[in-house]
Amino acid sequence: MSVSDSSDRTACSPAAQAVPEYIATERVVRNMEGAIGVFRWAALAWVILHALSWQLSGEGFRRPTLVIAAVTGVTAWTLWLTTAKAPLRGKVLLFDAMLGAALNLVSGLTVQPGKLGIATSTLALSYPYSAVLAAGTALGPLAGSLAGGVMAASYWVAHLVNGAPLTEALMSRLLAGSAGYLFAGLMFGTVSSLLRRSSEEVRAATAEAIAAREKAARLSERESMARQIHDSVLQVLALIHKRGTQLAESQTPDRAKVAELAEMAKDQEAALRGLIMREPEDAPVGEASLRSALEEVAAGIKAVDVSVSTVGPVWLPRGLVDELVDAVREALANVIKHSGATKAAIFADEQDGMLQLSVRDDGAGFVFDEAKFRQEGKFGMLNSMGGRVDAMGGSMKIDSRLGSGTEVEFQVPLQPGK
Amino acid sequence: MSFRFPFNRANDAAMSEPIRVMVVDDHPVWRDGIRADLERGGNATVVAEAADGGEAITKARETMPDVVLMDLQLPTVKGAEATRRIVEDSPHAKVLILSASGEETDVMEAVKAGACGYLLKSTKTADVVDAVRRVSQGESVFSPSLAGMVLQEFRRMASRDPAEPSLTARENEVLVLVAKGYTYREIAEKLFLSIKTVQNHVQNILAKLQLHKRYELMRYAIQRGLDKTPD
Repeated sequence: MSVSDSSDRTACSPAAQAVPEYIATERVVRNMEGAIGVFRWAALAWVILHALSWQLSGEGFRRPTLVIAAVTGVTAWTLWLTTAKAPLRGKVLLFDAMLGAALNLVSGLTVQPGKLGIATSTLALSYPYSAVLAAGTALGPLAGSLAGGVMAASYWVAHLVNGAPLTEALMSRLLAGSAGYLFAGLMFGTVSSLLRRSSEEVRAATAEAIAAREKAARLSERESMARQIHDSVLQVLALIHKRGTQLAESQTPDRAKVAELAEMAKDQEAALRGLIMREPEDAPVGEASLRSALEEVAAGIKAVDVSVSTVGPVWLPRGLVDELVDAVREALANVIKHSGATKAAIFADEQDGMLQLSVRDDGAGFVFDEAKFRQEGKFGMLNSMGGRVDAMGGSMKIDSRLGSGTEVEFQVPLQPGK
Repeated sequence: MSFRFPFNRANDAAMSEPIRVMVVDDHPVWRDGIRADLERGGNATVVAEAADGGEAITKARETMPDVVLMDLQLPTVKGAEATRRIVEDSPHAKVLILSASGEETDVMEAVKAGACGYLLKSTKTADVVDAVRRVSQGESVFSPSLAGMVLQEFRRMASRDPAEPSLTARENEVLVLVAKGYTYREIAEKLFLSIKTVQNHVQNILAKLQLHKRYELMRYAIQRGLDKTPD
């Protein structure tokens, strides 16, 4: 069976790939193609059987060698189409049509003169239809009609060659035959093109629906986060109000308590600001904003003041964002443990297919002494950070000067057209 | 020696005259707090206060402050627009934006309109006082996150219209280092420049950004045929 591969129609957007592979309309087109294959064999079988019975019992053919050659040729072609599973495109369809037309002509040449078409005295029978149906199904109504036209023309020529007298009966048979070819091509072409267009629309609609659903999920996630933050902000404000009043009224205000209130206020401020600056809803599918992820990390760290500065939201594949965040966490852990810094700054920039990510601190700085590091147990973390960046296909550079802080810089190449 | 964001307290040039500051904010408690901080800490006096953009523009014209500390979220005239008007009317006045949220678009608008920099309201008092001093001396206060925003804005501008003023390689370098959290001194060391050169680069970057705004306005005017003088 020759079945054209409709999955070579590429889905352009990643969301479309999430759409199920088999859509009902596409399955129908595949079935049409399969049915044409079955028809082809049936027609061929009938050609062979009929030719045999005609030769043996009836009037027989002129030029029997031509008959045998033609039948063999057509059988070989049909066999090839089926076993090679050749896609019904371009040159294959053209050859198919030529063969069908040739078969018609051979009919004209081999049937007894003047007898073509009378009482099933013909060779080609229905086989030429298969080319017309195949062309229509594969390429649409125009191609189908064209193939039908070619076949109809060959039908006329066959009769000419056969030398049958042009009676009214013959005319009506010719016209009916022509109409049959044309109509078959047109109808199969129309139906298959409608089905294909419909399945494309279904695909597009499904992809849109999936994207919309993801967007809605993200929005609702963001909303619930917002509600949580609003809630905690209100609580802390109420607390500040209450305790603040108490402290103001007391004779000896507890400084520690005041500092605690200030600290709580600071946390809520950061949380609320993070909410405001969070990315707009239209994230590319499957990607996350590195900036948002880094801000989350920064907000969660209390030991140092971490600021995040990026050139834009920096959309990257989600998996990569997670890995980068892990690397940054390690760098920050390093800062907290070893540098004595009070501030750290994270910078990220994506340009020309390269991601630059750096963590800078205002700590004591260090001199890279491998032996000493191993001894103090610092080497492990450097190694694992380097290992992580390596695994992403990137490189790590550390720039540190005693007394002026440290910068850890990651350079990670990004997939083109990610 | 620990590094700080570009608030260089080490360079304490004692000014003979106190800096004249106008505070613009619609929260009276905030205004009082800032006034107290400035007058206590830093050789500055608050010569005017305003609670909305319109008032700010008027009072700026009347009192001619050296520095204007302006909140972005204001009733009547918004902070960015007020900045533009004040900078137009009194070009010697340096506008420093104080923003609660640091919301990008607002800040970028204000900087393009002529602000000399911005601070988050949660910035420590000492840093605010220092920023006011530096701004009065003609410097711009560039926080790392502002630098990141400016980098992005230039990229956006370049992709929209290649004819727009763009950053030189050196300016880009400096801006990236600011965004990474280096102080001007550290940048000067790293790039083997003088601190003054680094400051100049930053000023040029701001000027280019503000030039873009003027281009925008001019283009708009040309489109509307507003540049045609009546015959």
